[in-house]
Amino acid sequence: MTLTLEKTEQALAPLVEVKDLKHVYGGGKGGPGLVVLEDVNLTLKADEIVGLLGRSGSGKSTLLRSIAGLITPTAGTVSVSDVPGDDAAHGVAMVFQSFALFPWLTVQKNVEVGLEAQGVPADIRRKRTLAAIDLIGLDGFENAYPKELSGGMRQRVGLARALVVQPSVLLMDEPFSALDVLTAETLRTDLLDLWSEGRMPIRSILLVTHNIEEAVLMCDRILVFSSNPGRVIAEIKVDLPQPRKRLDPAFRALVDDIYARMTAKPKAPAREGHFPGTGLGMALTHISTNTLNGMIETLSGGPYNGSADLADLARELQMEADELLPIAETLQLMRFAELAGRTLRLTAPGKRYDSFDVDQRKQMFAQHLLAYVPLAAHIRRVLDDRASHQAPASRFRDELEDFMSEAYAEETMDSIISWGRYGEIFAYHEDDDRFSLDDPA
Amino acid sequence: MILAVLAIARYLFLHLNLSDLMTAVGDGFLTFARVAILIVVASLIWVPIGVWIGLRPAWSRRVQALVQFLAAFPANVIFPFAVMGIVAWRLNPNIWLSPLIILGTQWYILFNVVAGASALPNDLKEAAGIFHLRAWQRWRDFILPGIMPYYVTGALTASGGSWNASVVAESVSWGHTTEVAKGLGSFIAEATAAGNIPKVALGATVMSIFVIALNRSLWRPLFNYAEKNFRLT
Repeated sequence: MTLTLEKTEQALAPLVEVKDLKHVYGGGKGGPGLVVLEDVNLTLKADEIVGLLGRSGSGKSTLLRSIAGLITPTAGTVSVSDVPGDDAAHGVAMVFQSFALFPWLTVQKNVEVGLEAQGVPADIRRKRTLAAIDLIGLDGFENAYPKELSGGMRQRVGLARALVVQPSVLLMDEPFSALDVLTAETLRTDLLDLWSEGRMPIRSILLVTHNIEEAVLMCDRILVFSSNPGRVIAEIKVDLPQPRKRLDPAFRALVDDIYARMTAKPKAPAREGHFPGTGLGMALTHISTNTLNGMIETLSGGPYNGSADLADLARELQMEADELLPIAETLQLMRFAELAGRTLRLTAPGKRYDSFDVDQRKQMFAQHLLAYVPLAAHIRRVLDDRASHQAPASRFRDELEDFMSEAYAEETMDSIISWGRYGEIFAYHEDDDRFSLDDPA
Repeated sequence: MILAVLAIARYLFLHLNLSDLMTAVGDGFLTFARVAILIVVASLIWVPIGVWIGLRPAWSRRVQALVQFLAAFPANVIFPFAVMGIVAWRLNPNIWLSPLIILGTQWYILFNVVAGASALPNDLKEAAGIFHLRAWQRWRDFILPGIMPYYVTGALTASGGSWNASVVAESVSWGHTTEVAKGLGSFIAEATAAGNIPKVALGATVMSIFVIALNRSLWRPLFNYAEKNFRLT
């Protein structure tokens, strides 16, 4: 009697517990900062794979890093505990999107790194390392350097390096998104096989992804994140038996359901759409103007005639549905289109834009850019005010960094430079990183 | 090029004897020892400091400006203070003048190391953090290989500059006092003061040969090695 009770308790004891987590980027002097995570609660138990699903900027990677202890959240608590009782699995380890292997160390040395840090004696270290290399299908490559390996093989090294330390929780940050489709699928299948056969010395997996199908394919439970700020908007239990088939109607239905939840308009009708941050602090995604024009043309042409289901569009353009979202949202931000649920519809200005020639389009693009993208208007205002009509780009980059991380600031600057050039509202000089009003003509 | 070398050789042969050559080469080895030891000492000091700064972006930006100022500052204006110190405490100029040759050039090591440390990729920093690399392991497996190409560039520049600086650093005057450290730099400085053109030419030639030989036999192979093995991409 007591024995069963203990067993249940053991299974139910959380490995990771996150309470009321909040994280704010920037802030400090001046800006209020960008809230990337708010009110996040999460419990991870033994024997489950949990997915954190959300778009870029939804703070899911920040959450993973808080659990890993790499980031100290602004508020809230994170606790990581091991399964009570006799269990070798301990702590957390992480697999990175970019693999994060040390380029000057061989495969074997890379895998060994964590064990050496734990002070494991050399002979045991070697034995465990070779076992992990063998488990993950890397034997024969022990002495290779990462640069000699394909992306898939590199990620196997990343996985072996994490498993060899026998973590209780395996954290995975978009582990397959830097790989080509086939390699990613092979790696997913291999990982699921190892997991279901219980051959990995771990108790649970926390997987960050932006790929809905990947989440449905792998996870027992999916937490769907909103952006602006990152919050858990849904928790979905996936009961489909493994191995799951993508073409199974139940699988498709679940993917569509999650898709709809992710694209649902937030209750407060923020006209900035899904872009994290508002005003100057709006983080932009760099979509080329060719892509924007192409999307408007596709939408206006047959069979859509100005309105299309995102899933249909994705199929025709052979894109992942979640690659399409940033394009749709940029069009919405510029008021060329409107995103309602899963339907993308051209607005009246969008239709007019489609009928214009190149010069008229540029003019209209400039008007919309200045009217709806605060950063564009801000840069233009500064340039107009100055007698010299020029300003260093670093000034604006610094302003952005009060609201967002360096990487987002960089991408936002890239976007505004490329859009500003297309609309000819200002010129940008790469050599000395400066904006001006010069007319090259 | 060959003609120029031959012309200089012929000129020196006519105006100097073998013992001058032996002196210049022997002095060259003294200066070489001085430069080598000081590059090592400066590296031991500035590599840890540079890494500390480079890993803290807020500091790097401020410090880079200061270091550039220090590198541009004419170090020889503070040489006379060394003379005063040597006279006051009756120190051995062969040792105590030595630090002057690296006074102006040590900053190349510092700012290259700062640049190298701030270029260490974030994902590797996170990997080092999550796998709890121990202090020594962190240096050996992550930081030192990561900054190596930058460090070699800095040390190479500092070494070349120090050879030239030895001309003003190994023989320093303040008022009527002159302190001299034996070496190729003071050999050239004294020949210059005496207006002995053949000796100046000899000293300059020997110095050039030393610097080129060092570049070929040490720095270039080291640089190629670092570029090949410690590149981040």
